[in-house]
Amino acid sequence: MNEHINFAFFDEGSKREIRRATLKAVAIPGYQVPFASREMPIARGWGTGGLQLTLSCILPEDHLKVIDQGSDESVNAISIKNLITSTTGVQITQDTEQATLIQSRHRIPEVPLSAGQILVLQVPTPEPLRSVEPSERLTKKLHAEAEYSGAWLMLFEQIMKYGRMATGADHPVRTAGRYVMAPSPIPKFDNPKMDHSEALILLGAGREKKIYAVPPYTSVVSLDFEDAPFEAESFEGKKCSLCGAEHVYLDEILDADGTVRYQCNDTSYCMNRRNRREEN
Amino acid sequence: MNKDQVYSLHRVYRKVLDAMARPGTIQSLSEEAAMIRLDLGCLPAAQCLIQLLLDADTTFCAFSADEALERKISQLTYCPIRPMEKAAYVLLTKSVAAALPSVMEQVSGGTLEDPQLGATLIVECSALKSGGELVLKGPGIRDVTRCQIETRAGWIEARAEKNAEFPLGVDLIFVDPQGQILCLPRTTQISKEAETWPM
Repeated sequence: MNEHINFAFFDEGSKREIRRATLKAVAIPGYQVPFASREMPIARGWGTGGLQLTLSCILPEDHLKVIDQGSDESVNAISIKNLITSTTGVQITQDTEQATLIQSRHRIPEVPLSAGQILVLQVPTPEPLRSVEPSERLTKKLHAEAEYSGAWLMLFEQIMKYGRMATGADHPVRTAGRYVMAPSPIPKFDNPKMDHSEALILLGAGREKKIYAVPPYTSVVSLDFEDAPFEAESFEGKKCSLCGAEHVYLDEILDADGTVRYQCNDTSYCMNRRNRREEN
Repeated sequence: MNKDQVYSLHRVYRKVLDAMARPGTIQSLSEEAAMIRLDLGCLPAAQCLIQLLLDADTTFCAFSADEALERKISQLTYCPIRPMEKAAYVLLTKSVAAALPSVMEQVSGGTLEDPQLGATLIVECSALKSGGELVLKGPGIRDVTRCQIETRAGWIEARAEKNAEFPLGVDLIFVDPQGQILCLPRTTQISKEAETWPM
């Protein structure tokens, strides 16, 4: 731990700014609270929003897990972990159950989260209406009036074009029956994990200077139509070629000889299963 | 600010965050409050919250029988004092607890475009207990949770009126002399009910 840098990197004024915004975000579920996003020693768009949330609330006794697209060991995850451990000295873990604070990009872990945990999600585009309305002033007004036809229209157009809702990730949700919210670019497979989650979920967009949150036990409903219901990615009949897991989010891997196999996207989940098998 | 204070504020924040995310649950700031050496004239746990939240980038006002309190807080935190209608944080000490309903009526409830401008009220009360006559519902609560907040009557109705049109409203943090805190964000619905029905 670097003793010449303040605990958790930031000066206390920066922490206060992030903390004030976060508390308001928790009090108004799904509403994007603007905040004075700080410069970080990593580039904007690489998780600065998530990092600011993590650093503002981290405790020396926390067990931290950082994942990037399901992996604990990608370059982005490692860089973020290095920055956090060098300024806080916290324990790093890959085990989802052991973690008290989880920062993630593009995935919610396979192991269900519990009440003692906080999940921090990195968000590139916090505004779910941005694709239909480029002006921030106008999207703020649309949220104020709960005028969400733009979001519905986007999904409707996808159905007209492709025969189904074609959102690959970041499928918009309605939080606590009021705000339409971008769940961050998690696959549709993970959307239901947000609904009535036991853990507090914090979402941070550093470049866009927004913080929002989903408190525990809060309804999070993916937008859909009566005659075109929301459907998560299906991996029916497929399983992980390493650990044999079914009903998890799988990556498709194309081998050199052209054969297709599947592998758990959540690397620590996969590894835990294989370790357990070896022990038995 | 020394290292112990920095760690202490991280702990205070994590507890406040947890209390705000799980309305009606009680968190104790007694350890952090015990570290406070300077007596401002409010409860030590309230002072923890002041140091957590206030600085030159926000605004506050304080109500107390002790008129010097507001000035002392401003000197300690550099936080500008604003009239109640414009303050982001409003502190009410126990000595003026009866004023809570009328203060609640007058503080900012935010705007539909910027609901985060709704004030946060830090309110001192005599005691906080889990279980009790207040039945809470809403985000952050699994089914219902019960708690008891010992303070002067009348505030529940005033709060319901202020928070009637979500997302407008005020968020409350209650503090008691034992160093406990309890949060009621604007989303929490309160009903009063005896703990057991007489048969």
